[in-house]
Amino acid sequence: MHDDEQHPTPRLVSFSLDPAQRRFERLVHQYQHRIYGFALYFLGRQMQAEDVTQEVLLKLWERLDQVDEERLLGWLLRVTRNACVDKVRKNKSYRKVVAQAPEDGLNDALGDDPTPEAEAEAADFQQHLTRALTRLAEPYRSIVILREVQDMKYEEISGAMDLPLNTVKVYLHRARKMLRSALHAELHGELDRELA
Amino acid sequence: MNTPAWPNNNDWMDDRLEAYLDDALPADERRVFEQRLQEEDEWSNELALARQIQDGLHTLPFPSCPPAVTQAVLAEVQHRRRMSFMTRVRAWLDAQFHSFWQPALAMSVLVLVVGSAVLFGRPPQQSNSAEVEQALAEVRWTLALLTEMGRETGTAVRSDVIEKRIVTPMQDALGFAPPRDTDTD
Repeated sequence: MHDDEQHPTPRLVSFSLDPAQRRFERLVHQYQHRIYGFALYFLGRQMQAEDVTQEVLLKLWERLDQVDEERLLGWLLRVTRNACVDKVRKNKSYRKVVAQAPEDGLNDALGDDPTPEAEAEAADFQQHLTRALTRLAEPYRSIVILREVQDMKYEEISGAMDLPLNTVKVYLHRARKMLRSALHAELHGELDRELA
Repeated sequence: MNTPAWPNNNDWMDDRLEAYLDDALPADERRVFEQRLQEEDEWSNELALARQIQDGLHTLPFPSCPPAVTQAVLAEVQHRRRMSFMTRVRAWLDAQFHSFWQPALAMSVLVLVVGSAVLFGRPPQQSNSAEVEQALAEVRWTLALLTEMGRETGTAVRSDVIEKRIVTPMQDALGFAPPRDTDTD
């Protein structure tokens, strides 16, 4: 599901490139979707996710000669998460951003194709789910995105989040519980509204 | 076999729900958990919700980064690369200028100034006080001569031009004839 080969991107620069640029282009193609996906689920806003992706990729270019490719994914996700947190802080309204998400941002970016009736309920649930996800506090939100959405290993998350392995497991457990609680409240609230 | 603590407590169930879903509960806790699931619909519903969340998270779309984003990044990198090259060239030129061209230029200017002075400058004048004194005496004599000549010329003009051509005709016209000096020189 999370293989970057699912998102083939045409060669972007036609003119001749030096080895550093060729390496950079290869890394961009390899990690762009992970970075963007994380930012999008974290921020819930397509434009902001695009900004963060650009920022992170340019940081990668600046540090290219220091990059250890074996640890690159963890570094990229840590930088992405920090950029997302900064973005939220700069907006000066963490709650506002969360409250706006995700109807006019995340779902548009994910592709809101017309849904057959049989899938309508599942799509509706996913909408609730993504909204609840963007309302999770940090670091729970990042951990859920990395583990459940991006399917990363605990060790990789531990590296990316700079947290002990057991802490990641405990936080993930709490995060899932929080999500369940949030969805429980939301779904029951919706049911109550429908009955009323 | 130890009986798990507080198996009838809701928090106990709540804390273990995700672990049960991951099949990570110890056998004794799992047995108690399943027993309560059978007895209480509330927990079976909660388990269904937890499972739905897990499945929902795993099937969330994995968004693609828009090509425009990466294109912008690669274009920016290309621009920075070019600017970096220009900066390096400028730095090299600066270094060359400081290490070679600047002293060379200063030396050229110096050579030009000295050469111009040698080629076009006047040789220093040797002063000779005897010659100067003689020249000054000549100048004085000349001036004195000119002065004397001027004085005599002025007198001649006065007697010749003014007396004969202006004063005498006026006296004649007015009928005024002063006694003429009969004495002639």
